Amino acid sequence: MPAAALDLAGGHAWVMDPDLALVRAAAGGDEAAFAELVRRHQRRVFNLARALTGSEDEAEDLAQETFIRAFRGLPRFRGDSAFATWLYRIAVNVFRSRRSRKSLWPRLWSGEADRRHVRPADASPAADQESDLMRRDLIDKALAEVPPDLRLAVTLRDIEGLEYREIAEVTGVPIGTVMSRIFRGRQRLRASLAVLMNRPRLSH
Amino acid sequence: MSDCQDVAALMVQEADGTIEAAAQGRLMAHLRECSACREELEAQRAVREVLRSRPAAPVPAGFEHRVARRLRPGSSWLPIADWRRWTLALSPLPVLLLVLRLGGVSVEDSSASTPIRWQAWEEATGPDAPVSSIVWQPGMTEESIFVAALTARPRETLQDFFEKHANER
Ligand SMILES: [Zn+2]
Repeated sequence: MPAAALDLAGGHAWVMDPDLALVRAAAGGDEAAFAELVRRHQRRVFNLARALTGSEDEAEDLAQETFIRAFRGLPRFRGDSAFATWLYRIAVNVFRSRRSRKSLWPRLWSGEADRRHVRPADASPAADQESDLMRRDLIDKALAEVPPDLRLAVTLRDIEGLEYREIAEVTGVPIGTVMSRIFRGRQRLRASLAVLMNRPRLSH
Repeated sequence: MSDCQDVAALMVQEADGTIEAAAQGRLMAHLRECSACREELEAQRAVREVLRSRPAAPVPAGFEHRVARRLRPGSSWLPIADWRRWTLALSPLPVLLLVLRLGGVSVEDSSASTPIRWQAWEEATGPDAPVSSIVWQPGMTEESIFVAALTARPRETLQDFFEKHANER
């Protein structure tokens, strides 16, 4: 994770955003520049989408829509925050709007089973381990049971590794609320993730 | 004993290792008197640890091409088209049309209320274009393929089409 890119939220906009040259080129219509931005950020955007939706199909839709909206919104990108942070904010907005409307066409024929046969772009021997898949699925299923606002906060913190102030910026709530949501999100996950904990605690 | 709710944010920071010294002093004072919060802090740490161990979800193959195709329908700055997704998604289409035929529903009748998307497509290609051009039109969604298939008057039958493309699946 390019920590430097994410360290630009808040009052640190004077630090050079490594994406800035590409962002300017892409905003001027350079599609190759935007393609490079997609390549740079697709792993994090897709991973966030997968954790938030718990589904390969919905993650694909959410991640695609994030980049489409980013491309169309490039002329309005002011560089107040890092491009990476801005992308997260778009992803969060897409996630929220998806939750609030029901799809007109149910996914009759783009089932999870089909997509499972698609080989990951960055498949490595280790990344494809069955135990990894099971672990991720279990975690994502547990996350899916958590109310969306809490899920968002805890995912951005513990899975994406954002700082509190970055989460505040991305989700548009005060830092105190961010921490409270992380706390409650972890509380909700305690029981469902107990099976994955190294040192399961005895309750008393 | 200070309120447990007041130390929630401090426990998040303690679990994350981001807490400042003064705040940590306050938290420790509370934890000395409150076993519930001691236990909760351990739980926060354990959940955090599990989440941080989650293997990242690999990006599905062809993702950037699908983004590119949606950005520029009709042309592509990434020339390799990913047909896999279309062919995977397509199989229920002939089944659906077969069901409609067998059920006595006339496919032609539905063109009386031509959807907007289909009108746009007709303007671009003319009403007699083969069914394959409906399906392969770049940038179309599952929904628009569905709508187009219901309203088209294909020259080429779906059977011809699927025989032709069967080896791509
Ligand atoms: Zn307490």
